[in-house]
Amino acid sequence: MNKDIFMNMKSVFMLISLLVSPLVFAIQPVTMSGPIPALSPTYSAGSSHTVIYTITNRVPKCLPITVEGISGSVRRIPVPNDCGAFLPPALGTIPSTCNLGISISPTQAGVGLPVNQILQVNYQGRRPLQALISFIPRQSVIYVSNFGSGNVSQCFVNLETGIISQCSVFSDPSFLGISDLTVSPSGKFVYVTNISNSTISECPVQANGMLSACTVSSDNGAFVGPSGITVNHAGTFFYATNFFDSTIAVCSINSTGRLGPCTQTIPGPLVQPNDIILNSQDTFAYIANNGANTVLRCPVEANGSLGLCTQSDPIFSSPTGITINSEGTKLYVNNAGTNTVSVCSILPGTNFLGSCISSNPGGTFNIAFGKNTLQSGSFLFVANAGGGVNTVSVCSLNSQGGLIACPTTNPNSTFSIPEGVALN
Amino acid sequence: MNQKVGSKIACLILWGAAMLVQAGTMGPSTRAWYTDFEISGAGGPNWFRTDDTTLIISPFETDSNLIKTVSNRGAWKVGIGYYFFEDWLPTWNYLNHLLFEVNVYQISGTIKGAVWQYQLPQFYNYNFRAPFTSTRLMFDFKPYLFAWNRISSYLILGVGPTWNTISYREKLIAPDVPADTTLAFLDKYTSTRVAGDVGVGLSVNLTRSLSLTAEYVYGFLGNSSSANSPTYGVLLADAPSFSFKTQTLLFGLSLKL
Repeated sequence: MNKDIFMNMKSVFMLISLLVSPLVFAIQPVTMSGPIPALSPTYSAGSSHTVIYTITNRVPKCLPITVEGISGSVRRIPVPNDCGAFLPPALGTIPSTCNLGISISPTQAGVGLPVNQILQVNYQGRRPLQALISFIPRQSVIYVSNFGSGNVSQCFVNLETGIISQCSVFSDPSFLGISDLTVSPSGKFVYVTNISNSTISECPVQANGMLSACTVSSDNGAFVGPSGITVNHAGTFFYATNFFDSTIAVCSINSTGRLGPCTQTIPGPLVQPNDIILNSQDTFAYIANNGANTVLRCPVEANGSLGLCTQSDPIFSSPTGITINSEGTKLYVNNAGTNTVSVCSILPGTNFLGSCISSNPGGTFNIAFGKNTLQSGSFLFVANAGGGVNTVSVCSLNSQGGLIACPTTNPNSTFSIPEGVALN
Repeated sequence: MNQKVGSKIACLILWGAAMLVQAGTMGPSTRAWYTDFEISGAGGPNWFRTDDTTLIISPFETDSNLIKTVSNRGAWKVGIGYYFFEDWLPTWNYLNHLLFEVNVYQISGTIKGAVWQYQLPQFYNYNFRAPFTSTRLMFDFKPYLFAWNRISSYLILGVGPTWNTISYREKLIAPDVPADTTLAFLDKYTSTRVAGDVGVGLSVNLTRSLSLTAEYVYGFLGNSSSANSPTYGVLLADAPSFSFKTQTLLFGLSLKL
């Protein structure tokens, strides 16, 4: 009798389940989403990019995982909330999530050879989670903004040797007193500052890394002499230092790469800020505060805005360019006043700046308004905008991040008062 | 394969019976050795019964297979029997016949149900269907209990080998779940098991040799698994296994030679 009642209840429940299952029970126990940022169709040889897949476990039990399809230029790397060897269990109906970090680091030898690897996560379920990692390693490109000639040099660069070659010139009608430039994390856009008319040129990047016709930014009220620019690593916010009115412009970036609405902010004691950079976690912005000979560190809020900044001691000399290593442990600051580059350690806490070592190996720096950029802790590229030298210094780095030697280059003689330098 | 075996055994039994009938018509009218033999055939509805089971994908994923319905295609049997001690047992008021039969039974149908991944209702993403056939060769003992006019009642007790064949197929019902997680088809597989029968029957004598029979038989047929043939690359630690039990009503004719 009891069994009959149980069977009837089970039948009723299953009937209800059957009716509503497409609405309620369409749940896959384990899923993988991402990556963030999205994969680019091409990646520069010698560069390194991290993408993160998120695995969601809705099963209230711990599931072991193994990962396949990670070899060559595609490797697994530890990331925050890393899945490790197990997917943590869901708490009741609350799913658990963890991250799978993938590093994409194509080599010079792989240029032009398509990479098609299936990332496979085996979690002992019905079918492994799979994602296709597909891209073409291409020759890395370094862009140099020439204030003198009003164009952008686009050159191939071997990021394993630092050698720059095969420079061509890209001109666009929107360029007017170009100063700095930066590349979106996806590598699909290069943004160029027009300091003379306080606009930003948004230039799409072709598959081979060359620039194509630019569009002028639409919301320019927040730009007043934009001298230094950067984009956060999520590719969602754009930051510009306004040299003329000592403010920071913060703009959103829409899905097409265009700059959206911009706002102006004064998060700290800004005096002719000349360049800005974000750490790889997008949690802090560092500003070369040219007029005060300081560096500011400003927290980055979730909505992209800058919080209240803290300021270093005035140990710099007309800092014009600033960049940071991917670990967030070293700052590289161009000192136009002394023609040196300061390599500073970063400390946690309010007094964020540790010891700095300023140097000019080989005496090649002639910085003026030159900016700098870093390649995977291997090379620092410094634009020498001063003294009519028209060169870029390629500095090799030691294991502590210090400068070793900085030979200069100007292949094809296209550099003309180079101020901005960026890698793609 | 299973149905072919059943058909072959049934044909052999019918052929043997036909030869006995032919021998009976050719011989003298005195009681012959074959006169205690009988042949029988019957068919009727069948109620297959199985229990909820599990589908072991891996040591970390065990799914539930929950039975919703079983569609039955009926049952049939043919057999040949021999009445023991016919010289003196019919003189008794009770236990007046003891019939030994060799019967071939066959049932078939389809099990239908739901699949709950990880045995949780929120992961009810698939339905399954499992067509099955069971053919068994049973050695049945049928002691007759008592008779009233032309009607006799008897018990059925049997044992014998059974060949259970089943395949397994899932259908995705959750639109957001990838189709390639479905066990699209696990091929049929035949398991050989030992079966047991218990039941009761009634026999109505239409003539001295021809009887109408009605039997209720409960059969324990063991269990059966489909082949473990992965489709779409789905990993599967063990094929789904179903228990086979059946209740059958058989209406037929019995011809005593």
